[in-house]
Amino acid sequence: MPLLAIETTCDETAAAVIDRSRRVLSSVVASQDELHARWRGVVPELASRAHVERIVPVIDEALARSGVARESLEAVAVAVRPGLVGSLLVGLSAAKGIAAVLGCPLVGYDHIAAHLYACRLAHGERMTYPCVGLVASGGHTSLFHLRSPLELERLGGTIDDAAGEAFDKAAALLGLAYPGGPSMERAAARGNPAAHRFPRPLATDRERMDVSFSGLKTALRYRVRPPGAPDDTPLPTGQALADLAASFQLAVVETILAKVDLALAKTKCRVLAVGGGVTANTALREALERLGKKRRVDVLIPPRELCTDNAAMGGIAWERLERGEDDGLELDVRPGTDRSAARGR
Amino acid sequence: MPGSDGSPAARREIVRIANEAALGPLARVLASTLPPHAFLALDGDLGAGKTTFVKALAAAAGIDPAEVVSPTFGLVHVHPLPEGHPACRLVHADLYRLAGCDDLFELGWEELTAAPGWVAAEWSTRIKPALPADRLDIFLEVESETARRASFTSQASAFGPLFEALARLDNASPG
Repeated sequence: MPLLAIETTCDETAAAVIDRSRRVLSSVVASQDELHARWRGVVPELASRAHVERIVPVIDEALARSGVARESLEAVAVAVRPGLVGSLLVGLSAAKGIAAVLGCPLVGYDHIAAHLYACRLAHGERMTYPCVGLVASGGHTSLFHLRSPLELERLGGTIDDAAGEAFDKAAALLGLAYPGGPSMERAAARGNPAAHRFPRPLATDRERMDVSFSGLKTALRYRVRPPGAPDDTPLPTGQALADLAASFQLAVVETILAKVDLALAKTKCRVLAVGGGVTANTALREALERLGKKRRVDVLIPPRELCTDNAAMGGIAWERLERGEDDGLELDVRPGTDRSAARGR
Repeated sequence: MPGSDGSPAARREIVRIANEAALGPLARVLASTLPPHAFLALDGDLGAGKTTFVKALAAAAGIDPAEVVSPTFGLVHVHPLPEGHPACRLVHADLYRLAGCDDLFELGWEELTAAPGWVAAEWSTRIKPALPADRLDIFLEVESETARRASFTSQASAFGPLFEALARLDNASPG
């Protein structure tokens, strides 16, 4: 019998039905990007209200598409961290309600670990442990050493902005639409990535596995509006815009790549699992695949719909259910940062 | 110095920060003179160095600066200060994504700001009507690729020791 997974960690209201063999029977995502575009980002009040409006229809839709009757569910899983408290609580309340009615196990999971588990769903037995995991999204940029699906040791990550946040802020500086990742990628398509040499701080440090994108954002700001330039300095357009976007994108990709390379060298792992919305970026995917070929490492990148936020990756809950674990109705949300997310279970 | 209307007059100091390294001494002045309950309203353009400024303050107060990452996505990060520190914690908020004061309720803003501690709020102008009167305003301006100018303004007497220390800092490095 399958499980129902619910995800309300941030932008997306999502639900999915996954069976014990890790087959995704249905996966429904109601993106809130349209709502957030007006405010250039995630607005907590708005996010939790939108989750409330969408959670029941999204769950109903996931069940309908899977052809599984609610009574046939074996368990309910829900992402309990990291994220905004208000948003997390919407998913948790819905999950508790269903688990209480069905009298079935209720299992919480870590959104970050689940992002990497998407590789297990997409690539099955190729996902072996130990492996190196890269999560790059709007709110997270971290490298992990995974001993099992649930045991993540954080190797490093951003010391300031997340990769997706860097794209969002760059897009804002260039007058492009939110979310920044896709609009930067579109703008970069016809640009010359060698037109501007943007900084890659920490990239040459062969000890630390941390990355920094704050200086890169500031460097872009100076290209767009040099110190002392008037506030109404016109924004770049046409080829100038394409070159800035392409050069910025290359700097982000190379910064991440340098640390992935270091993590693979240090851990000697033969598998790299990748997750998070930023890995939908074609330049990053291609660069990671080239690195894999060079290092003879199996690079596992899920299809786009499993990279961006979704509930199918909640299939990670099977790992806990198979151990006989059940959080029960005492389950609570655990908001927090990227760092705290990876600590403990 | 009371103003003519009876309200205390605002004090202001402007400090030039030549580069990121020069931020350290300034942050140490702040860390040693801020009262245990202090609200820092931090503003300036994207890329002016708001998060870097908070990172430096955190480091000066004994927090691992690597822990202090941009709160743009998470909105609020709470960093405990070292054991025995009178301020107990540093609340680092980024209000860039907020539409207005109505969003603060969902953030648990009252709980975050009422308890003793330091609150460093980036993009504070997003919630101007909700800002406490006894705050310290810090405005960062880009002078050149490396240099910044920081203006400190407050009408709260609790920041007196800070302003005196800033004035000494200013005299020590003319220009």
